[in-house]
Amino acid sequence: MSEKNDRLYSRQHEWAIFQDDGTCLVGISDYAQKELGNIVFANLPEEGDEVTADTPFCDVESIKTVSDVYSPVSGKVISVNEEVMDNPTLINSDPYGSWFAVIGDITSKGELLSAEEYDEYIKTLK
Amino acid sequence: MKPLIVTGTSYDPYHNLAVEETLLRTSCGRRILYLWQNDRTVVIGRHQDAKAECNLEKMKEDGVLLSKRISGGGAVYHDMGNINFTFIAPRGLLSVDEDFEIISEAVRSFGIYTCRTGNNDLGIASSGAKFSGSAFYQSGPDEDSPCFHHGTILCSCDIEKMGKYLTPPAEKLERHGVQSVRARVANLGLDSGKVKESIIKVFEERFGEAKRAGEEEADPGMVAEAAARLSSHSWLFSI
Repeated sequence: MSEKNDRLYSRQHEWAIFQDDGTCLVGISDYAQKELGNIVFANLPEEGDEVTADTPFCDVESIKTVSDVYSPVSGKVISVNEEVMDNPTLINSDPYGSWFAVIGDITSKGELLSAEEYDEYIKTLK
Repeated sequence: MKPLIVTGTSYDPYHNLAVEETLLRTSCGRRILYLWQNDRTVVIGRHQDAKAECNLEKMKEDGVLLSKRISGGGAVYHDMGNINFTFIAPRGLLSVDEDFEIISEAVRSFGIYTCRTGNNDLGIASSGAKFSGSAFYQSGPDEDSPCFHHGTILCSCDIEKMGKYLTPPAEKLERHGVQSVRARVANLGLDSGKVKESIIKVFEERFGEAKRAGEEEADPGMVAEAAARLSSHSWLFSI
């Protein structure tokens, strides 16, 4: 199993780390970055944006396609990762270190899977 | 469910891009071919900087519109000598190779052989010049996520104008933005109406008899909402 146990996963292939201060870090999974191929642009949300669980909140462009990224939670964007914006290939090289945004004021969560469940789920794809 | 073929009659780029997006969002697993044309317009990729990619002043002088699509890639110039195609299907069913085969077969029926030039382009075999460029959008990474592959087919486009309005930056910009790449391009020299008919014929041979419709097939409320968004200053001028 390649997925990390320190976080939860959505069926749309985002990961979420719930932190002790009540905020949540969000990024995309290793499976997602592999499916996308070389990422050339990360169009991240802006601080203060309201986001809704299971609804697109930003998008990434790879050499193959533009793809929407879904928010695993409803809440408000506290900060975005400027490093990933400046160097989007980080998402390919380190998908689990490259968080996109910190989301706070969380009012609800989408359906999220454990690493083990997510691993089983991606085995059913293709 | 039968595949759907939508032939547009509007030449307004914002309306047409809104029809395309609406067809995608309401496709529910259906295979759709949408053929459309824009009157004189520069269309930039989703993450491009309009100010860096085109000469907005000259465009304004000449009444050329600026639009931005939801897919990636570089800037292109459209006029009535260009056809746009959009293949919509769930990600698991959409095959870029297959789409290119359909276009190539349609073009071959006029005696013109094609070649792939780069991953996303088609060229004329005898010269290698590009006549078709493509871009992609997916609403998600799964097999059943609706996605589209769309592109241009130069039939009798005013190619000189491309150089006038498109200004790919010579140097990398400080802050990202996706940059256009110059390519040697050529027209097929064919009637756009006949090329559309030929594409429809090949599409039906491959996927079966399709329902034919006009652009009103796309939900008008959703089209109006999308057109307003796609023609807004904040959409056109944000990177």
